[in-house]
Amino acid sequence: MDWLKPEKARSYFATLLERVGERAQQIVPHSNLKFTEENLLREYQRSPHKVRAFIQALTESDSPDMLLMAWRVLQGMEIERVELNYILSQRFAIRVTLRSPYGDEPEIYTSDDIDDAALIRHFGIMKMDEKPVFDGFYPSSSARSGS
Amino acid sequence: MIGGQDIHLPVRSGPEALDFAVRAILRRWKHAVFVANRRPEMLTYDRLEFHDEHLEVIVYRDHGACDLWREKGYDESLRGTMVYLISDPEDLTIVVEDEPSAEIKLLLQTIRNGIAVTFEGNHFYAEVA
Repeated sequence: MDWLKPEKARSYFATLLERVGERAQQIVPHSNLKFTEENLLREYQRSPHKVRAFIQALTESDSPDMLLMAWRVLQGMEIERVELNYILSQRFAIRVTLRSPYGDEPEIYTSDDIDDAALIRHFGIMKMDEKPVFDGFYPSSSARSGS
Repeated sequence: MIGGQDIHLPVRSGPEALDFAVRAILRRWKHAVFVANRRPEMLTYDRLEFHDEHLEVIVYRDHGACDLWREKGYDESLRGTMVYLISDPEDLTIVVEDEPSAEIKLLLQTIRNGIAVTFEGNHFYAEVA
C-alpha cells in the first residue's frame, strides 16, 4: 500500500507533529514546545516509554489538540476532568481538562472524532481513598511487551 | 535505610511502573521532591528520567522532609515522610518502614492496584493482591 512507504509515513508524521507544535504555541505558548524529531529523540533518551506512548498516540489520532493533551499529561499535568458524550450513529464528543501541579491555568482539549477515544486507553487508572483518578499516559501493552 | 521492608511487585516494565508509582505519590504529596540514583539534586517530576534498567528514586513528602532526612537520617519524627522506589526491568520494589503509617499503607494499595489495572488490565489481581 502506498501510504505505508517510509517516505510517505515520514511526511505524514512530520506534518502532524508540526500541527501539534502550532497548537502548542497557541494553547501553551509559555511551554515553548517543539515537536521535532530531534526533540523526540532527546526525550526518548530520557524516558523511552513516554515517547513510545506518544508515538502510539500519533498512530491513533490526527487531532493536534488531543495529541498535545497526551504530551502535556506526559509532562506531568493532572487529568482533572474527562467528559464524554456519545450517541449511537449521531454524536461523539470528548473534552479533557488538565490541571497544572504548578498552579498554571487549566488547559481544555476537545475533539468530536471518535478515533480519539483510543487515547483514553493510555490513561493510568488508580483509586485514591476509593476515589477515581486518571493519571499518566502509558504505552499500550502490545508495545510494552516488546520493549 | 531504616530497617524497613521491601515490597516486590512483578511488572512488565519497571520504568513505567516506577513512573506510575511516582505519580501516585504525587497525588498524595503535592509538594513531593525526588532524589534519583543517589545523586544530590532534589528534582521535581518533570526533571525525572526513566531510562535505565535499574533506577532508584527516593520520594520525600516535601523539601522540609528531605532536608531533615539529610540532617538526621532516620528519626521517629520522620516516620511516613519518605518512600524508596527501585525499578528493574520486570520488578518494582517499594521500600517502606517495617510498620508503615496508615497513609503509606493506602499509598501502597493505590500503587499495587493501579499497576494491576493499568498495565495488566486485571481487576481481579488488583483486588486479591
